[in-house]
Amino acid sequence: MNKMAITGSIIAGLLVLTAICAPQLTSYDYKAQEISQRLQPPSGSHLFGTDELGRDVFSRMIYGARTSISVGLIAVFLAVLIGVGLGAIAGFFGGWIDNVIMRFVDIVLTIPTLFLILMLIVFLGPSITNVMIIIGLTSWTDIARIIRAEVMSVKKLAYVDAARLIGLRRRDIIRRHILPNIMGPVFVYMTFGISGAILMESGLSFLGLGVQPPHPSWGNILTGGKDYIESAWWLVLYPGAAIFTAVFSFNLLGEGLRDYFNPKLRKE
Amino acid sequence: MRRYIIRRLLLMIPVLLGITVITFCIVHLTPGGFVRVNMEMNTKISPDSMQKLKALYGLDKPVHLQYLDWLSRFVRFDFGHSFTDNRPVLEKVLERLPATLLLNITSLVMIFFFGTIIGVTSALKRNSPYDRIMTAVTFVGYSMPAFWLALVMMMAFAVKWPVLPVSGMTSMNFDMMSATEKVWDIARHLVMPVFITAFGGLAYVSRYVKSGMVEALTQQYTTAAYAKGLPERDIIFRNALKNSLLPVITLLGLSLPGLIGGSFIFETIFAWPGMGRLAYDAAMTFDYPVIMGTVTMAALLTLTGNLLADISYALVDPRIRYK
Amino acid sequence: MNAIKVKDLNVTYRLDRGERLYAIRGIDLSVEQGESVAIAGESGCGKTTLAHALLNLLARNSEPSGSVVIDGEEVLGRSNRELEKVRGVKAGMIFQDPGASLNPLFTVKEQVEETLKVHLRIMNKDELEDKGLKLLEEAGIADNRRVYGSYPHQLSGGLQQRVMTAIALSCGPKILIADEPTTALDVTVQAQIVSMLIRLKRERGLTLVLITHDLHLACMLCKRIIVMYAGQIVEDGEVNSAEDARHPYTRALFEIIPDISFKKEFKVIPGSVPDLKKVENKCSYCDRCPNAAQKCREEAPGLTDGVRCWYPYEVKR
Repeated sequence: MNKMAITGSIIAGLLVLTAICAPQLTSYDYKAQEISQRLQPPSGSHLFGTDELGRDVFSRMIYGARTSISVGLIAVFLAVLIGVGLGAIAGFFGGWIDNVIMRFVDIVLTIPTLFLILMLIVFLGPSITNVMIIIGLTSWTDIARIIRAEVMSVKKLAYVDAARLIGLRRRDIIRRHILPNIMGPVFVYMTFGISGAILMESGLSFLGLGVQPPHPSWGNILTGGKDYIESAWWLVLYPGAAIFTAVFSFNLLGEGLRDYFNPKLRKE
Repeated sequence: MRRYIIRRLLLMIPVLLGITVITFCIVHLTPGGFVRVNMEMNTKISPDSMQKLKALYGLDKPVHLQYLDWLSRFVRFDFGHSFTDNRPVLEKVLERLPATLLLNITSLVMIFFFGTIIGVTSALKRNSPYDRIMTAVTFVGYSMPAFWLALVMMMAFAVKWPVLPVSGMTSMNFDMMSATEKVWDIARHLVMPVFITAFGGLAYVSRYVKSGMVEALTQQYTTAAYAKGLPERDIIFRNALKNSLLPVITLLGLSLPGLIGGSFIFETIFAWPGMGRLAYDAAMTFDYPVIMGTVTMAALLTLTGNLLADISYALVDPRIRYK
Repeated sequence: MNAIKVKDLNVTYRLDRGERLYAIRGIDLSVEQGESVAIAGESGCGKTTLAHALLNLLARNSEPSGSVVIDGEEVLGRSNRELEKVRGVKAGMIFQDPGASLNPLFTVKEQVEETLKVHLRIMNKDELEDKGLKLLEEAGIADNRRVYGSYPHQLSGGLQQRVMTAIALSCGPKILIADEPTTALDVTVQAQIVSMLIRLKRERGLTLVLITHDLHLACMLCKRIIVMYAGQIVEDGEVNSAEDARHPYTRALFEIIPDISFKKEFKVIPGSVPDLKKVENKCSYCDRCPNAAQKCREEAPGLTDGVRCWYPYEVKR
């Protein structure tokens, strides 16, 4: 493994750990409002200060990590499921099936993703579950295209022909010979997908279209903060830095994995 | 070449139809929506007048008929009227179009200009400290949440040191300015949104240019060019650069939907009067015709962009042109 | 004056993790004006590195030392700008894969005229085109007008190599370095390219350096054969058959040439090229040599009388 992948996975691992151990890391209730303590700057008792309703920002951020990480993971899981499925089918069967699927991919790619997400959210109603599903439903196209290309190239290899000759069924060929070959690119795009989903979720929550208060998300902490940019810098700085760190670490991991699975790229 | 363009144009039609069908379905088949919102807003409304309201907007018909209705008007460039202010949708979209195009085209120009410079120079000095720093800087930009950067920049350059305008595309006294002042005013309003989009998009372009350039420089035709005794400047900027810009053309086409769609987040933050905000407002008020209008227009812009990218690709690469 | 004079040339490549690859070790070589020399050997013996070193076209991770003088001009340690006076002017070069040595995005016309403009300073459009068309004709392209306006991908491999040769010779160099010029081509096309090279050599009085793994081809074009093994010259002389060869490796190379009549069994040299990452004080061929003795494993032989072997075969020359 290379430095990028290691650094990325350490930071991402710490974030996941924070999310899992959230209750152990803070003694404040992330929902508890204390109006007398509103908009306190960071101090010993409130590490990251308090928000406009007097809630402890540190606790909200730690629970926000839960939101972001779980949205990232579930959305990507869904995207991979759809993308790998459709991509593998298109690549393996080719012909009109491939044509139909690829035209569908073209269509989804041409609708500006955020417009699509915006419409779906507005019509389905903003909630954390809907955000996960919608991000998953709109971000599978890259994976599908990669898988399709990989499957097509793997399909041409001799051992797949050999497998067909000895009479393995198509489903078995896909499962035993093609899927193992495409794990590399899938892992790479999963990590990029997670960072993309985290970015998307925080953006939507920031606009009030994602995770709804009082449930905390890095994005909706920022929403509160934007009205106080002149006075309460900590409400803007910390959640933004958290989003950046999460996105950065998963991107770094993705870059590292990409190099790892494609050693050709390391040399010139 | 002409046949290539015609084929591409024809291929756009099913994609455009598909997009409108999907959008129409999302808008009309999902629970909630315009009618329910109107009922909630106005509890006194009777079922009878509810029915009248639906009929007024043509919402009482089956969805496929509604779609065919919409489609038959669309081919005549009639997008219907807005539910909220009853103005023609086309008019509403077209008045937002210049702002969107201005922002997106300026951003694209910046991204591709600086991305190409960074990519080429990094390729020439590959593995040097300069290359590493550039990779790191563009990578940070790529991982940066744009809306956060927008807030931080507003905090810095509009609140703390007020050197740039906070929001909108023009100042309050825009109408009273002279032509040059107007240009200057818009330019000042463009600085922050363009910087933010460009910073985020730089990584993609510079990486593509760099790897294309490194590849071109290690190709045999480059060695052959050196063997011919051509000046290095010609080899890099004529022979290799042209080859390395090929993937960038495709990237240009592909980055359009992201830019157009992505702009609504900081169009909202910067109160930029573009299509993104129009779509956002329309979605919030369940203004069906305007939603359909903006999505279709955005899709048309994207398809046109892709077509232009394909054509320029074919113009540059004879292997495509003569297929 | 020698057309090419190489003195104590060493080329090492820096690899990952601080490893080094000793691609070329202590090569001395001089080629007379008008002489034809073939440099032969298996792949990985350093012959392409040598070819690239002759015009200082080595990769970025290489470290050359020694001296290479082309027609009186030192090329090692010179900048690309200084080398513009040598490359294409004093010596032209053609490569293994002609399709890859032509830039796919430019027409033949553009690529031919580019060199003419740079070196001969011809700027007049008609003059450029006349000269270009004449060059193609000289390279044996009958259909030169069509080829002139074409893109490389529209041409066959043979035509591409003819175009490449026309460009390499466009500015009248006296030396042509041909790196495996026929390897990527069909057999019939190979023969045509060979006869073109023979004709051009005669017409222009060229000094030809042919890099090849194919001794058959080498003997067709050149009297003098230089055999390389593990980055060194192991034999240098007028060798035309296995019987002429003094070094066991040269002999083996002749014996593996496939026999057209299929009467003989298809042979290979047992073993493989040694690891060039370490240099040991022994004969580099001793692990594969049928005649290897104790001395071969203990001390590296030098190049004496054109052969690098402790126990060379005796032949009458």
